[in-house]
Amino acid sequence: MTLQVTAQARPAQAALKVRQNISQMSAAEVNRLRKALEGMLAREDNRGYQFFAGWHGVPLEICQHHNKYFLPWHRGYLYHFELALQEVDPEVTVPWWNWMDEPWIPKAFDLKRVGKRKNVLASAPIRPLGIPRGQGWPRQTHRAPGSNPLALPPPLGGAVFPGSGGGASAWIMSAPSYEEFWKRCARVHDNVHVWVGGEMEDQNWAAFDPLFWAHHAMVDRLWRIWQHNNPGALPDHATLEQPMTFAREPSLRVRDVLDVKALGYEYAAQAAVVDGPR
Amino acid sequence: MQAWTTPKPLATPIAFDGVSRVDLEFVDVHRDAGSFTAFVFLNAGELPADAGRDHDRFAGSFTLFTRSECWGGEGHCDWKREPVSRFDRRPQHHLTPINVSMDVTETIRRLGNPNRLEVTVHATRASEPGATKGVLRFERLAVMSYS
Repeated sequence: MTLQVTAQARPAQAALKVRQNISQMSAAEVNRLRKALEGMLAREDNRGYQFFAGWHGVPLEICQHHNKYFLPWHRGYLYHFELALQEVDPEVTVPWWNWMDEPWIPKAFDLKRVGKRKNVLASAPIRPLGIPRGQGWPRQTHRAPGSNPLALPPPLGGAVFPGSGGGASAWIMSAPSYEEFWKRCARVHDNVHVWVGGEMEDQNWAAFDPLFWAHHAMVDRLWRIWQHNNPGALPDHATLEQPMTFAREPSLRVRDVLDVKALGYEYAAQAAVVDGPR
Repeated sequence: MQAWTTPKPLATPIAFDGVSRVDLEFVDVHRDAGSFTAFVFLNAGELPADAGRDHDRFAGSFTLFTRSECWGGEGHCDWKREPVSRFDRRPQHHLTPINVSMDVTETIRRLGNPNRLEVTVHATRASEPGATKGVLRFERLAVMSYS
């Protein structure tokens, strides 16, 4: 057995953080998330919400879709976004929306108001950083779940995914290779975007919707679970070494995002922590 | 909704009952005209516009999440751009068309392993369900069978 010891670059911040199911978070936890998001929205520089939302569509368009970088690029994207969120509140993580088991907009994201305040998780302003507003651009995100008559509501149906039997979840998780896994994930991911509707169904504007991050955390979580079940099933060597484009340091290769623990988070369903002898 | 049917039926040299898997491959599907969902039917003949997943000739569907309008200047969304030099290592344009593959083996079996396939596609744009043109564009459709 080989024991691998790695030095912690930033020991004071080395504790793993757990991304949580939005539906299982307490009211206090959700409110803390809202406050952190409001803090990001208040920052109108390259630490703020508009800056990060703009990586995906208007104006930077550096997202990756329908190819083998789809999963690693979005994992890196959420990593960068979450760090910016944690600059506002270090204890907050990006939650995930379990659209497999909860095929509706989660209540925390759906409520129009929370008390007397607007719910920042329901809708966010669209003010792309650094470029003048174009004619006809949306000013605020909105959703229209189910408005596309053909897009399947999550959790989707077995009939659409041949051989799945148990529906989309079983179909995705039974993928025998990384190549097949990202393709199946991408298909279901695309369907959820279009089912949600509004700005979420348009690559130009999707990341301005706060639900975008919870949707992608779910996709990322599926990848994490699949990685657990398929140790050693990696992208090909050339892909692993490929650097991905982000608008912020650090630059990340595909290889750098394979291990979520190295990025500082986990999706454990439960976690209990106790201090050790110091 | 845009409806499209193969101008002539597709056939492969080996009969479908002798193969283990059959895929439909939509080649070079465009991604520059808005997100859409496509329903695919096999040997369905005349289909009503509202034919759905419960139709006995329904073979599957796919949804593509894409961008809607081009917000940039002239040429911004021109995915056909060539490398500007041999030193150009930039990735492909993000709107470069993709291939979409669909496993239709179960439907082929259900239809009794027909020798020829007529493929009908109903495609609906998410933001404009009434659109009848330009929703789904691709260069070729191939049927691939594997023994």
